[in-house]
Amino acid sequence: MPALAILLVIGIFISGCTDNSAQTELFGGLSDSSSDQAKVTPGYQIQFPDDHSSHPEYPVEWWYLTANLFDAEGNQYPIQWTLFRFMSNSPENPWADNQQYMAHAKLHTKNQGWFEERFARGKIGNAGVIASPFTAYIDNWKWEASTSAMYPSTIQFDVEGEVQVELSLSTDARFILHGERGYSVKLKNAAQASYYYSQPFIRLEGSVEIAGRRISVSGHGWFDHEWSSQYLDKNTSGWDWFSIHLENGGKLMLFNMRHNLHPEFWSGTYINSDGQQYSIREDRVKARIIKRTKVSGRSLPLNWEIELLDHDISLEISPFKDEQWNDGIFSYYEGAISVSGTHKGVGFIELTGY
Amino acid sequence: MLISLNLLLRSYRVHFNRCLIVILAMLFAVAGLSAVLVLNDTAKRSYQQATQPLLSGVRHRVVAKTGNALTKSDYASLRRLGFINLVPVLSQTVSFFTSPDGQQQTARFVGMDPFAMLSLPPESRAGATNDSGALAQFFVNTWQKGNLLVHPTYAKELKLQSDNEIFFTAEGTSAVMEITDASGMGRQILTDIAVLQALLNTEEITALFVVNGKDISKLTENLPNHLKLESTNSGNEAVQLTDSFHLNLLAMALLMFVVCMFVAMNALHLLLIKRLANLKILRQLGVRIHSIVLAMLIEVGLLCLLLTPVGILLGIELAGLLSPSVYRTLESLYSVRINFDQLSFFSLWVKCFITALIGALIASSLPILQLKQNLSNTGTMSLITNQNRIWRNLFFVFSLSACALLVTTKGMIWSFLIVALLVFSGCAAVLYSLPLLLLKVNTLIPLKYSLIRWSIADSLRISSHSKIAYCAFFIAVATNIGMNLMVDSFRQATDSWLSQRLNANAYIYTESPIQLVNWAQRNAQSIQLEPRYTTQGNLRDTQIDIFSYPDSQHFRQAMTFDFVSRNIWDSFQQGTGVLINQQLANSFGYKLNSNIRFNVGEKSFQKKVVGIYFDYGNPKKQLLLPTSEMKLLDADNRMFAVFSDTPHHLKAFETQLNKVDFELNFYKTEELLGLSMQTFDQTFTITKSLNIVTLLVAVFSLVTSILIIDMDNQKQRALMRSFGVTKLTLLFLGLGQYIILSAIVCLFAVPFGTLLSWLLINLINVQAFQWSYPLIINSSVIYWVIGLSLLTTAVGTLLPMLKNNQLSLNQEIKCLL
Repeated sequence: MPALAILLVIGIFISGCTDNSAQTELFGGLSDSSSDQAKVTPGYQIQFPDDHSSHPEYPVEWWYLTANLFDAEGNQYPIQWTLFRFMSNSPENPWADNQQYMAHAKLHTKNQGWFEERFARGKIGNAGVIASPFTAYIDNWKWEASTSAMYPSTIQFDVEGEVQVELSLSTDARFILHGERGYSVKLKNAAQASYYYSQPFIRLEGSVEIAGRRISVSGHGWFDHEWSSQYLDKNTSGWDWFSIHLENGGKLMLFNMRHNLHPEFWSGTYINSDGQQYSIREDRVKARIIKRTKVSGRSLPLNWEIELLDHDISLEISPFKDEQWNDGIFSYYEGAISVSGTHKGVGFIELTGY
Repeated sequence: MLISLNLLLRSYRVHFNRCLIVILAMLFAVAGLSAVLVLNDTAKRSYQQATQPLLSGVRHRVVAKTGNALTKSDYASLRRLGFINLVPVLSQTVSFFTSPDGQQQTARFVGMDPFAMLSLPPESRAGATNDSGALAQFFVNTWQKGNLLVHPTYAKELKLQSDNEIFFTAEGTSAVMEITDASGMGRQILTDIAVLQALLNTEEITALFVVNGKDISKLTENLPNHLKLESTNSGNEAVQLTDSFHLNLLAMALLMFVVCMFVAMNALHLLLIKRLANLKILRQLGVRIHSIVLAMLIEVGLLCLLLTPVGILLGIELAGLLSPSVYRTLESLYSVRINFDQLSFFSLWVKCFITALIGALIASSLPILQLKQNLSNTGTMSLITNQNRIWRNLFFVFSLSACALLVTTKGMIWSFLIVALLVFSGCAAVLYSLPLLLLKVNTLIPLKYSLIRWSIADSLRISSHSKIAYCAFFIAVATNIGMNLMVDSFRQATDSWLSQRLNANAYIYTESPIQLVNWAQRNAQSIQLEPRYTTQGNLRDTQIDIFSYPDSQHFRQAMTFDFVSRNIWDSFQQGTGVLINQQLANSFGYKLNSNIRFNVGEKSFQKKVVGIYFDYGNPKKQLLLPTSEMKLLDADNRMFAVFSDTPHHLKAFETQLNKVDFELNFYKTEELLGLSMQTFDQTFTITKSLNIVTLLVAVFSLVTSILIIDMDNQKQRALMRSFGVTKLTLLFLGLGQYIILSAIVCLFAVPFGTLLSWLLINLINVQAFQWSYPLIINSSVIYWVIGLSLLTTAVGTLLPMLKNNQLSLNQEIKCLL
């Protein structure tokens, strides 16, 4: 889901809302619909491990991993690793096909932060997703399993040439299909939707190396895989997304689409410590911004109060630190959060369109 | 002081012509200087920033070794190893048409991968996107729209406009042009590599640019066997390689500047003569000399302030006209790349203003000094006094100083000082000798030729009033002779050297040497192919070129040596001796039998110098090894010398080559010679042009100076007319005067010009390029320069004299009344 927020940014680019900068035109070519593109429709049966792989006939797709990692002293090292795939209408030529890739990687400590953005084209061989054994890669950033199942697996990447991350990922939990068996509606009128599943029960162990210093880390990770046939329209103004690991073992995904013509649309999925999954209806969640904070010249809602009326959950969300802005060609806020209230926990927040 | 300044400025209306000369001289000086500064600085910044289109810091590139190809899979593998600072590039010189039936043009097309550029670390992209969004624009215009980008300056050169469609007839494809001045754009047409591959119907990749490569050794270690890393000839190496070329340009511009300052000095001097009466009145009114001098200095400063920006604008235009030729020469000679980035106008203005101010103050110092002396006197005598003794003494001081420096000093700055002293001693010799020679000539003319005697005597008067103009003229003629003799000697030496060195019947350059050799063995047994291997080595931390040299009789006879050992070929063949070029020998002080150590990759060599050969025009240090030894190294062999028994066999071979299915270039030796000499001539076109401009400026100064003096002399002319001397006679006499004066100056310029040429070859050339060649004094070159100088002087003076000559006797003698 968080990657959809990136597409929101792309959608804004497509709409040409901020046409002063040439950057706004980047990936403009993605906006042209083509008869070759597959459509997202209700009733699709997501199947594993086949659907871990790429769906090149769909215009957009992403594999999105966030994790709240800690060292032995309790210091937090939040990471993000995302691979996006886009389909364009550029013609096939000797050099490349109509698939393009973008990847984001970041690591933060309390006092420092690193973020890197990469791009690649299909058919060259430096980026892609392989079904068996499952491999998602761009250049030397690689998430690799030994079989077509996604876990256990390893992920390796570096950021800005200063940070090295090597982690092993494991889980034996089932994947969580959001919405109607993975058909996830984004607007109240169901005008926009995607296929969306997550794995919120990932255990990560490994090391991060910062400026030559190797630190052993472990923690919880959240993985999203989503693909869609629609870009967000020009009236979509932004997106707020949360992924939360509660201390009692519960998991929560919550998102809110902000649209100029429609009221805010909150939806999500709560998974209790027993693995029971509950879809959260729009009228059963209350979310309130407590405080806005100036980050990279933008006023961002980093502090929230969230209440799930059906589950006796009332949470206060605050950022791990304010400065977690992803400053790339496609910029947005993706940051670790701390959770307090009826339950304690950690997680991630993604804010776009601010 | 304000009164003085007011008076000086008001005099511009009255003495417009003389002021105009000062203004024009300063404009010429600033325009010439700023043009060269723009050309040099733009080129040097391109090397230092290792600029490529939209990228900076490209000092290395990965290319395929001979006979191999760089593939997309190689690129992907390197990226997957973590070398993300690589940008794949396809670069090809291609013919295209602006319409399907239009005129064919050729340009270099460069395709780069925008995705690789977007993925570069921000610090590598910084130089590329100094105008925000340039990279994004490139991305949008090429990847999305499939357009071709061209810089406005290059578009003008190719006569292309935005939205023009161009056609590649060989491939049957077309694309739309878009004009952009994105940073780093140069003399090439830029697009996405995918677009270019599709347009040219190829899967080729020329190179992978290494952007801001920090860990070059790690990259080298990880390259597969068929790839290699090479320098892009950017950065300090390129600065050093091209230094002498830029120095040459700057020296020419400074020469022009100096001549212009002489012109300005002369014009100021003439202007002062006109202003003298009014300035004397100021003195009588009680204005101090100090205030008058200060006012004059402020006037000069104001002129610099106002004229420098105009001169710079002219200079930028001039640079625009010269840049295609200059940059093409630099790019072909030194394999460097130059973009069209604009210089900061302010920094250019500061440089030019300071130089112009210093030059103008020096130029005005002599007239002001004379003015001070004159205003201290009570009389109204001429500013010019007999200073013959001073000139003679100065001649000795300058020439002896030049000799002393020649013997005792080393270094480029000293060499330029020696050249300057030579030129100044020539000026002093002219100023000392000119009146003496005229007097001598006058005494030789019988009394019965009274008109001719009057004419010569009048020449003496003219010369004494226009000494500075004659100095400028002398400098221009002497430097023209010097430069032309130098270029001519270089040309003859190169021609003879190339004729001897190019001993084969033809040459082949190919990327598929193995295929060529196999094909030749099967199909062309009457032809002998001699491979020439090339690689690079390291000697005293300096990169050197290493070539194979066959030791057959053909090649032994073809080599031209500066110094050679007795048993050279035996030592060379046995591998104990090495041949080095003059550049390498002079750079490190190697002589015959010196021991040298060098490395090629991991392999070390120690050899004795057995021959130092001429290698004209090569900016690089080079040594030769036997072919057998080079075969053992990891050397390229893309070049082959072709030997044929008969022209018929060669012709048949050339015809057969047209049918081979691999790429090659075949050059007959005579074509190669022609091409080399054509390149040679193009290299010196700019030098020659600047020389001629300098000469024309000096002639212009001389002519205007003489004519202004002559106009002041209308009374004498009227008197002559009233004695019955016809207009035509006066015209011939006047013309004769100027030609005699100019001819005497030209005669002095010959020895000094020849000396200058010797200094340029044996001093400046050795300092700059590390090699020299014999001075050949070709009299036709000297005749040509003198003829051109006299002709321009004659034509320059004849036109206004003809105008003056139209006055009737009545009109002329009115001034006597």
